[in-house]
Amino acid sequence: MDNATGARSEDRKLLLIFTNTYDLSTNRIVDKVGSGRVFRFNFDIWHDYQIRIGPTDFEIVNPLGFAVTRHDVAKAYWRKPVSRFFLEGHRERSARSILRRAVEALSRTPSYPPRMTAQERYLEAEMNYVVGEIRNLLWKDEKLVLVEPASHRRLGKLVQLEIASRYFDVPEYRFTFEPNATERESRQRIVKSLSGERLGSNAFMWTSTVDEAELDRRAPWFVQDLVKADRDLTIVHIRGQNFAFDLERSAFVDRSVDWREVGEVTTPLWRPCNLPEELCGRVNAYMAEVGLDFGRLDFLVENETYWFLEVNSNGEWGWLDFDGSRGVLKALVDELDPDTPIHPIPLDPFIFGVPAGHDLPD
Amino acid sequence: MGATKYTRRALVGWLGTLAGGAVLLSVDGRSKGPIVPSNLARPRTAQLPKGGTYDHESQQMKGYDIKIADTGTATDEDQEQSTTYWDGESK
Repeated sequence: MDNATGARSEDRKLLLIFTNTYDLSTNRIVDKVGSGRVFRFNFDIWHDYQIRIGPTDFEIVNPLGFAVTRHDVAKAYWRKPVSRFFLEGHRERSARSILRRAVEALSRTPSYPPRMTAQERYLEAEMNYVVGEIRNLLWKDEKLVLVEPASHRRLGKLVQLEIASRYFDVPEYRFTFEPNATERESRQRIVKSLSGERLGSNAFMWTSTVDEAELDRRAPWFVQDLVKADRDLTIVHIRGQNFAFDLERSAFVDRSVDWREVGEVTTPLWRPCNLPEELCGRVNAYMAEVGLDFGRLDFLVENETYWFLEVNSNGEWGWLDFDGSRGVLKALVDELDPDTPIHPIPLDPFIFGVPAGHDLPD
Repeated sequence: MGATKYTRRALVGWLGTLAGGAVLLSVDGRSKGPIVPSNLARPRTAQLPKGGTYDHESQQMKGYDIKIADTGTATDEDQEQSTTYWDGESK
C-alpha cells in the first residue's frame, strides 16, 4: 500500500494512539514523544481521516497527509477512543436552556444520547468496528502495549474483588437481586453501580452511603461494608512500577463519600505518597495474576489497613502528574516511545496469571 | 369539518391509551416511582471543556485547559462500553 506522504515505510517507527481530541493525557504523551513520532487517531473526528485496509496492510491518513501504515506502527496505545456523540452529549447538556430542560422533563425525552439519526448510528458503528479491527490486527502483531482494551469483559468488579481478597483487605461485598425477599436488616452500607450506566440526563449513581433496608428490592444492588477511612489512595501501576497518591477524605466527605463527585475540590489535593514495600509487592503480584500491565488501583486507608476497592485498567492519570514531575508521565513515555524495547500485552488475556515471556521488573 | 372530527377522535384515543396505561402501571406496581431513589442519581459535576480546536499539526487540542480529576464513568471506559448508549446492545 502506498504511503500518502511518499515516505518509505521502513524509515518510520510510530506510536499509534487510539483516542479522542479531548484526551488531555494523550496531549501529554504526544508532547513528550514528539508529534512527528506519533500518529494520533481521534475517534470523535473520524470523518477527518482516510482509512484503507487491505489483506495485509492498512493505512490511516490525517487531513494534513500525515499517514501511518501497519508496517510503520512500532507500538499502539489504546487510550479512550470515544464517539463524538458521547462527547457532545455533555456539552449539549451543559448548554441547555431552562425552557428546553422543562420541555424535556415534561415529555420525558431522554437528552442522552444526543440527536443521532439511524444512518449516523450505522456509520459510527461501522467505524467503531473497523477501528477495533485495526487494534486487533496490531494486537495480533504484538504491537499493543500497556492497556488491554475492554478488559471489563473478563475482569469486572466482582472478578477483581474475588482475586483481590487473596492479596488485600477487601470490604465485605455482595450483589443481590431479590424482588421477593423479606425486609432487609437496617445497616449502613456503601452502594455502587457496576455498569456506570446513566440514570437520566447527566445523572449517575455515585457511590453513596445508604441504609440497606431502604433499598428497593425490585432493583439489583451491589453493596459493600462502610469503611471509616481517613484517606483515599490511588496507585498508578505501569508494568511493575507503582506511583502512589493519597487524598485526605476530611476535605470532601461531608459532601460525598465518592471523591470523583467533588472533583473540583479534590483534584488539586492529591499528593504523592510512599507505599509500604510489602503493599507494593502485593500490588505487583495482583496485577501479574490479573494479567494487566497498566491500571489504577483504588484503596481506602483506615489507620494501617489498606482496603482494596477496584482497579481501572484504563484509568485516568493526567491530573496526578500534570507537569510531569511525579514520574507517571515519564514511566508511560518510556513504555510508549517507539524506540524503546516493546513489552506487548498478552495475546490471550483470558488466561489469568503471568504469561510466558511476559516478564515483570523486580 | 372532517379533519376536525378525526383530530378529535385521535385525541380521545390518545387520552384513552394514556389512561389505560396508567391503570395498568398502577396494577403491577410500577407506578410507585423510581426504584433507584433520586438521591443516588446525582449529576456529574465534571464537564468536558467547551471550545478548543484540534490542531492536526501538533496533534493536540488547543485552547482549553482542564484539570478535572478522573472524569469517571463518562470517559473512563473505552469505545465498546460507550457504544451501549447508542446501539442498545452491550457488546
